[in-house]
Amino acid sequence: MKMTFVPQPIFHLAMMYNRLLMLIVQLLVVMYLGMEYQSGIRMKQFRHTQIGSLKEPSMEKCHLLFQDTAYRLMKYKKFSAGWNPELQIINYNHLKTINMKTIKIILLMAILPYVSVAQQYKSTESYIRFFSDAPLEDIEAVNEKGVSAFNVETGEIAFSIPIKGFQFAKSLMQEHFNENFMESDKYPRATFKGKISGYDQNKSGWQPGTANGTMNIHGVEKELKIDGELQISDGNVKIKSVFPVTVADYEIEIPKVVFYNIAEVVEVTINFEYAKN
Amino acid sequence: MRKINPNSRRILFSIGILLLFNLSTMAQDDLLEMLEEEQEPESTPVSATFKSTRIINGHSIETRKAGSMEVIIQHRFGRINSGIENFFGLDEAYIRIGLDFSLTDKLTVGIGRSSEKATYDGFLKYKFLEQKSNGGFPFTATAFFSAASDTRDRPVEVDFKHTLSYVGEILIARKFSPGFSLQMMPVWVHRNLVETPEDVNDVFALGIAGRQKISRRSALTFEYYYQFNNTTDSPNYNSIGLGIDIETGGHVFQIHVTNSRGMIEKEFIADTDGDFWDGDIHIGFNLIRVFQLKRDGKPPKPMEGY
Repeated sequence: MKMTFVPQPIFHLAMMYNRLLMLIVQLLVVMYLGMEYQSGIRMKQFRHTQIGSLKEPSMEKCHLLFQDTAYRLMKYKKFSAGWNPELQIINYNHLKTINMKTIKIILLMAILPYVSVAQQYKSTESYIRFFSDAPLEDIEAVNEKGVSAFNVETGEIAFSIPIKGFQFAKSLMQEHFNENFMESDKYPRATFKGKISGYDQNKSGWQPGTANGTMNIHGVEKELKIDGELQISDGNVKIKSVFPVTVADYEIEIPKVVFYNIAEVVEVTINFEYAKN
Repeated sequence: MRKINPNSRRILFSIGILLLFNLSTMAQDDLLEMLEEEQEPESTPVSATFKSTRIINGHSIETRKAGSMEVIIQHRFGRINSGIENFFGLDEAYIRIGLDFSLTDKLTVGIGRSSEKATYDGFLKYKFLEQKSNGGFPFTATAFFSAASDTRDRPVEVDFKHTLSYVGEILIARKFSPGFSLQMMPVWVHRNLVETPEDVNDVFALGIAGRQKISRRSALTFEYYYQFNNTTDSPNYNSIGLGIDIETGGHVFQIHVTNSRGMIEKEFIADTDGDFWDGDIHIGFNLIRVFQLKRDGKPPKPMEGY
């Protein structure tokens, strides 16, 4: 993966904060559970050693591995002095409950990430078109190689479009587009990362939604608000949008003397169809 | 909560579990990162090694996409050292008009007529290897074959076959960076009839050419052909050319200086009589206009249900 150091927009920070918080909570929970679990195993083994026959507590006679556990347990149960044969029974019950809890929580935590994955949709089909309406010549290019991911639950959306995938009617125009305007060797993809809001994930049929996020074209990032429509049905999501892109915003130079003119604002159409990941 | 016992095994165990859960969640966190991880860098054919199908006099490895037609007007003035009475060569003009048709993305046929020696020529050009990006194949190679007929009125009647000459050439080029490309081309020129008994019928030469972009729409080019075996009594020099490519939309405009008068391989490789270093330099230009005769098919339709 390429590392880039660009100032992160606010929603990135929020995500990073969430991630950090989750990490800390997990760390605490897992450390606690981990210790309980470990000592649980030890205590079970400890129980099976023939400690009952011992006349008095003797740490030296326990297996070295269990010394600290036994010692800790005695302190915990306030058996500060003397040896109590009841120890194993009390302890056994105590361990049983901890182990059940441990297993449940560990299972839950193991499942959690997959629960969120289930809400993620990946594009199966795409259609991206740009259209420039200029006095001399209309220019149109279509790309079917874009990919996208969408999280219905959170509204997060990202798409990535390979510039070289744009097909023009005129092959020379396509070459100029790649070589001179988009510099697709240097900037092979146009990407968008953001969040769609204003939709109801339980509603069927087309409904409006607004995506707020960062568009990256020609290596230039720009905050953008895109209005579109989406359709959510079981296991299938469709998104469509038509929005203007101002060529100059992305530092794409259009020479004054070209034999075909490109409009300063081009119309971009995006269609994505998603299936559950 | 029980007091944490600093047992290293426990901590390791905890961190192990923690990592196990977090690795899976982290990877899914950023949708864009996830997408980009999945998109493997494609190895696509490198485009625009040269901006035009010609470098200066000779061909580049480029072939146009299927269905395009190129109209090419090549023009050379006279020698700049011919003095004011010839207006430094601008009074004279040598011209070749050509039409190139791209039958497929890799196969181009062309015809042309040169004013120099009233020559008709035709060629076939086939790109058989393509340089690919992202560690793919390292160079592009194009095979070139042409035949030309010199139709000048001669004092002595000659058979048609004696007017013919052939050129076989392998063009090998690599685009080293978006701005810099280099081409090598071994050439064989065969002339059915030569002027003097000293002239050889088969000339072998090695050409080298390059392009360096100087701005987004212009580039410097050079071209040089070294002849291995052409011995003749008449002046014979290796062809040198220096030029500038200017791209303007559907046109490519090339302006250059060269010591060659002819604009077909047989002429400029084996029959250049100007000494570049003595000022036998021709200012010239190529004007290339590309027309799309047949479109690649209709653009894809929007998806169903949108």
